[in-house]
Amino acid sequence: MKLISLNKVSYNKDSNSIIDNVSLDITESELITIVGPNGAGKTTLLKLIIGNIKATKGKITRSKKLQIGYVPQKLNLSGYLPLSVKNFLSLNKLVIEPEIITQLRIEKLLDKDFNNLSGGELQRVLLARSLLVKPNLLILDEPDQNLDIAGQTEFYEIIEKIHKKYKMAILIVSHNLNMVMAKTEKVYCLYRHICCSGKPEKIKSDPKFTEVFGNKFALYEHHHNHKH
Amino acid sequence: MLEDFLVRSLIAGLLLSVVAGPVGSLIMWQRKAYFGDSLAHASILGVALSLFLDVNMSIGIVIILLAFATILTALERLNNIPSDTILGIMAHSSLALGLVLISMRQNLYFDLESFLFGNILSVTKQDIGLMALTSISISVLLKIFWSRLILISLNQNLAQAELGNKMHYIKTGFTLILALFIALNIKIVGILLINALLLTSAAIARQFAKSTLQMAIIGSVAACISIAAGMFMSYQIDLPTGAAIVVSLAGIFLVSLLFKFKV
Repeated sequence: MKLISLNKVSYNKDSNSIIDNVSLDITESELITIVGPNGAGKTTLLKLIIGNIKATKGKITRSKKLQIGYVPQKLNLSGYLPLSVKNFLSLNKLVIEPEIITQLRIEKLLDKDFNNLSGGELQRVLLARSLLVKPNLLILDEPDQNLDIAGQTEFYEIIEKIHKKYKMAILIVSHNLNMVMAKTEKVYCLYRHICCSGKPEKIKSDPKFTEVFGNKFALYEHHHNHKH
Repeated sequence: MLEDFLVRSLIAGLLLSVVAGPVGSLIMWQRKAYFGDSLAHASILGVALSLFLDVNMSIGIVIILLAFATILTALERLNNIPSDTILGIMAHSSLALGLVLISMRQNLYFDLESFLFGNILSVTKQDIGLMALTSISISVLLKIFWSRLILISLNQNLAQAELGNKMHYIKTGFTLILALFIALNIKIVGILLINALLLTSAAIARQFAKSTLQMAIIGSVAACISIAAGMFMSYQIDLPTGAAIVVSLAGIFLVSLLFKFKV
């Protein structure tokens, strides 16, 4: 079943085209990655998918059953808002499920103030909240931004487990090519329009991809080879 | 014993402070400090409108502030001027236009100073009725939407993903609440100082609060104490009410900082 489908969607701000003629579908339980350099329009595309802004042209169709769980890059906290992790998780009457808390290993964080979390802890708490809404589409916005390499690896292992367990569709948006996981079923390479898409192996040999990203993807492969 | 107007003023002050805590906290979290100030400035145009239409001040101010918020939303789409500049232009032109209109009706008895700095003596029974009505409705609305407003303060995409398009209504709703609050309370604290009341009580509350609810409550308590102190000073030594209230608040804020650094 299609959860959301974008049909020739464009978004202009003033006369500048930010997103140009993008079509993509997200179907149940698939794992998708959108990669693009800074300024490629990733944030705008996310806002369009979430529904925070409306497309200038084209059509976005959402399944009635669509429930989005969203993991933002960061929160506008900076200490002004006193909030414990527990209170954050239960905002808007969400029920805290012990199973999710244990799975993300945040039991000990529940009474902590939100402002005193490390990057990795914050990431797991945000992920926990997104799971509490019981999403069939989980969206992760640059999830690796505030994590070191070890943290990134750990985080992506958690994502894989969650995907296996809950079988929801997952959409990861990243500018970090190292994070294009081997497990990703489909990669969209975004630079205002979709330059190319397909399985990760197919993408890497696509000349359009190297046009946008240079040879960074090859570096990733190198890293990948070392790991195994 | 207490003269009637003093009882009225105290009731008005209490009604004001109950809402000032939560509204001030939300303004701080959503970084709307400048917006609150602009609404307050624009309300002088509402005062002028009320003089021309000969209706209750609060009603004139509510009409103008709602129009202000609507026009602002439309103008924010202008991409070659930053939105805080637009806000500043609108606020001060409304203020100026209001002053021009008011001075055109100079023959009327009108005490501009009491609108700039607040005057407890000006609170009528009708005002108390209106204030009670709005304070209760605002409290009920904030109670219902509190956690959703916090979610919006934290991250708009997150709020949109969870709340859907309701988020935009809640955001607009809060702007209207802010406009209502300012319109109804400007007589007591004054156009130039009402925003300071909101911000300072929230800042005091932040020094002690461990949760959002605590912050709202402590903010209200701080507002209440300073309003009582301000009114007392205003009554005893004939000071402008708003100024006396804000000076009290600033004093509490300084003490709260000392307390914070000592602990």
